[in-house]
Amino acid sequence: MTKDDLVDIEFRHEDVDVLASKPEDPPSLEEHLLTVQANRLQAGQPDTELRSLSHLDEENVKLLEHQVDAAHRALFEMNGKALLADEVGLGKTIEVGMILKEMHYRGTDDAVLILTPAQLAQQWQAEMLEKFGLDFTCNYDDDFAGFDAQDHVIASIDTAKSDRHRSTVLARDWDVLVLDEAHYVKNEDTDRYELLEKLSYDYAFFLTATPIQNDVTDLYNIISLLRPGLFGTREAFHHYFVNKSQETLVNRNELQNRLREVMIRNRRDETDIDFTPRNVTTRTFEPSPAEQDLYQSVTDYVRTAYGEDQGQKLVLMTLQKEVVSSPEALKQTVERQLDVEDGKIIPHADQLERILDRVEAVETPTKLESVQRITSEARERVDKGRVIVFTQFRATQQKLIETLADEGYTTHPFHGGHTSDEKEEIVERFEEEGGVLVSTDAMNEGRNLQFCNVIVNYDLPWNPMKVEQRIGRIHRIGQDREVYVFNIALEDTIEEYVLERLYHKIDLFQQSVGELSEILTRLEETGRNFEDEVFERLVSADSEVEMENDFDAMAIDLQEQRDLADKLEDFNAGVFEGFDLGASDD
Amino acid sequence: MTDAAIPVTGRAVERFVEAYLTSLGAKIEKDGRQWSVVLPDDADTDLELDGTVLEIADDPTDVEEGAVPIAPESPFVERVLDEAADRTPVGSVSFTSDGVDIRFPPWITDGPTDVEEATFTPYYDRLAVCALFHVGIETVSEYQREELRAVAIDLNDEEECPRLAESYLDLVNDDQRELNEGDHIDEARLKDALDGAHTAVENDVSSVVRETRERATRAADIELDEYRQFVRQRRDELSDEIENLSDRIEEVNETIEAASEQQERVDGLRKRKELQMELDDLRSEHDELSSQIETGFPEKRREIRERHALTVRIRPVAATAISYERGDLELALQSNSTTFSRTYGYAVGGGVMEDANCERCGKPLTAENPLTITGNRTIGASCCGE
Repeated sequence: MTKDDLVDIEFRHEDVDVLASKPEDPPSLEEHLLTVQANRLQAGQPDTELRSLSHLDEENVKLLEHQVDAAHRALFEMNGKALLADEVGLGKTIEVGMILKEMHYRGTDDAVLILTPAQLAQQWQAEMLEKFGLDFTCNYDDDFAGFDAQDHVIASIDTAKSDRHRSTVLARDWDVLVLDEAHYVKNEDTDRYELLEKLSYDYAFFLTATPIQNDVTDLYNIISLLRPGLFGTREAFHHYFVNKSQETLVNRNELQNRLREVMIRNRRDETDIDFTPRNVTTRTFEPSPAEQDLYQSVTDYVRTAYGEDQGQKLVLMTLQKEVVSSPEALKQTVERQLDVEDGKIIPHADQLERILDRVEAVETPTKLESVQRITSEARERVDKGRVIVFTQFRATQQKLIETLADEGYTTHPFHGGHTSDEKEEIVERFEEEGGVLVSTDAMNEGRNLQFCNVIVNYDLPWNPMKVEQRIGRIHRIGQDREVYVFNIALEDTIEEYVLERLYHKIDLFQQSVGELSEILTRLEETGRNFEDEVFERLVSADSEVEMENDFDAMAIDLQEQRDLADKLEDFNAGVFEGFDLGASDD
Repeated sequence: MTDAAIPVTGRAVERFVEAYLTSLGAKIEKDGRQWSVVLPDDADTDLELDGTVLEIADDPTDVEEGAVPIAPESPFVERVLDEAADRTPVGSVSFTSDGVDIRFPPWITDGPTDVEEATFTPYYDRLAVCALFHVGIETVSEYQREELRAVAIDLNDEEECPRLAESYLDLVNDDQRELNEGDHIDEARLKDALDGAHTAVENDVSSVVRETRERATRAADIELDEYRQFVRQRRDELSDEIENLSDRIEEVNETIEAASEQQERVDGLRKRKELQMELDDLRSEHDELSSQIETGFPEKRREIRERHALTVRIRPVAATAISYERGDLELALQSNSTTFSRTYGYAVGGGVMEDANCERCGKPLTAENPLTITGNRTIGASCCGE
């Protein structure tokens, strides 16, 4: 059998006589040219402009040329099935946002499913809403009622493939499927791959900076989900593109030609992304004796309580975070713990009472003094003295506002309780009046705060992604000044461990969201969660030395994940080196 | 051969609708993005516009009540394009040096040499036909591919003139430029030209057809491969089932042999008959699959061939007779402070009609090996440049 046996070609020639016999009277040139132009317009792509672009709020999202180009090509040149494989940090999420916005504008997005690694689902949800006005339900939402109850869903891929949801996910015909970190679905023998293979969808956009994890078979598997048949059979692909030792690619030009039909890869050095430097300073202070006592009593309580009842983990974690944030934040939670119905026995009530006593013993929190040194310096050296101070807790925020206002600062509280109009006004006032904006982590992606270039992490989230999101509020495309990040921590506390051992080890403060998400997703793939890992180490260590060793071990593990992520990025860069998968040659 | 399609932007659509309605004698009163349009009673059109308000819209669903949207893909625009596309498919145009700018070849424009002066002297008129062909390539495993190709054929030497086609497309798209009518040609000459153009289009799309066929073949191969695997697997399963069933029949035989009661024997015989029928069905299916495997799945191949067949449609949609001047183009060239004069055969709209070579080594001058001047010779900048 020759290779072409199965496909016959039929040429249908429509007779030229029909056209040749047309001219009876000499026609007018003007009318003829209109006919020519009408035919040319009919043959043109049905409006391949991104029509929704003009409807985007530039305050919320700054689009870069390579992103607009990628969205355009994915939609109009790849028929809505594309692998977006830009290098890390170039904004693949933005590209998908533009694509979905355009599809929404054109009314082709009745049912959209975005599958992501678990820890990125909510970030996707926030970005789609804030930057593109696209409202998705996330499987972590309280009111999530299943994959058949909503039309625009963001979910972790593992939730989608779970026994509980799998049948409803597969029962629907989705208009659009988005798969983030597509390289985690590279293995054809997994439940994830099987789910993707069985899903019904018209358009699909897969995202990954590293399509190849182990060998080029990964590429075959991912592309085959998008365009079955593009590479022929698995055997044919191996035979034609991979040499026997599987270490090098052969027939690169042909591979490139076929990949160009479905894959877009922008490289960092070819784009106009240019971030200003980021200057990070960590200031650690010796806690006062009262603060030391308080910290110790909370840590002891958390260890004891967790040892007896692990169901309380969330509350205990909160206490451990609050004790390094402010006595006020801690006090509220402890009082709530003690405030239960009469007659009910509160475990370790005596310890909780003692904590309350020690809260009262802290007169002026050390951090509160140190933050004023930064704000005072900013008042002298920065335009309108603008500083953003982040905290995780409303009570801490309240205390900060009171203290700074007493010291004569113009202050602006910003938290999740404000309406979006109020939030808008607060940001405008902050820009106009300057001073200190004290914000909880409700300050989200869409806010344009490039006019400020100093932030203070008054307390530190244990989730590195949240730290990066804070910094990302001011250190983003459009920021033209050097950015200053100040971290405040107390010595010998969990914050110092997280800061020194972990965050600095993965160079958190210099990583982009994309780079960070790669490290965290790798961690998640091994079945672990950053915050839980931190907490477990804190409560399970029997001694100071053991805890230090434990955190060192975690840091080494993170470092390895980071090195692996870097290696893969380099490896993919090497494989695709010389591949022109940017603009089409046509 | 040239892709003749133009992007269907809002602006392009707006311009076209206005030009078409004006050609029908329409009176258009504009108020911002809204146009009130009245057509004369005797207008030769199926469009019904009598005081109708048209509105230029980014989104066809977002116009004032009662207004008809002018937007890409809006039904009204589709109707206008459909009507205009068939209206006057044959016409003529004239390219003269007065109306068409001189085009310099890339081996001058992409190099270090400047053109100080250019003088065109027309010697005679030539006639060509530029035709637009609609090309459709369709197969089941891919999206349908639709293209519009332009091909120009000189009527004197029947050669294809790609640059003339490009100039033609540029000029008709430039609504600031006045074009004049050219010489009309009779039906026989037009037919000959279209036949020649048709062949050129077919040759031109052959590489696309070949690539499409390769891809379709891959998809078809996979389908056959999967079917082959499925049949083999099914045959293996059947072999196992046949073996099991044969064992069971053997067991029933033993039961019949050993039966002491008549009813037990009758039940056994019934059971054996039932199992035997089942076995026959399985064997028949097994034989059928074995035969398919031996003969290479002819039925499945026929089915796949039918579904994956590639259809290529080529249809002429418009043809323009182009009268154009040919003559000499005298260029005063300057490079490295040296000025030099050269004369090349030139066609208005078609550009320089002769190949130019390096006067030192004879290599062709191209965009990559552009012209430069040394002493009194024109040479290639790459092959013999300093």
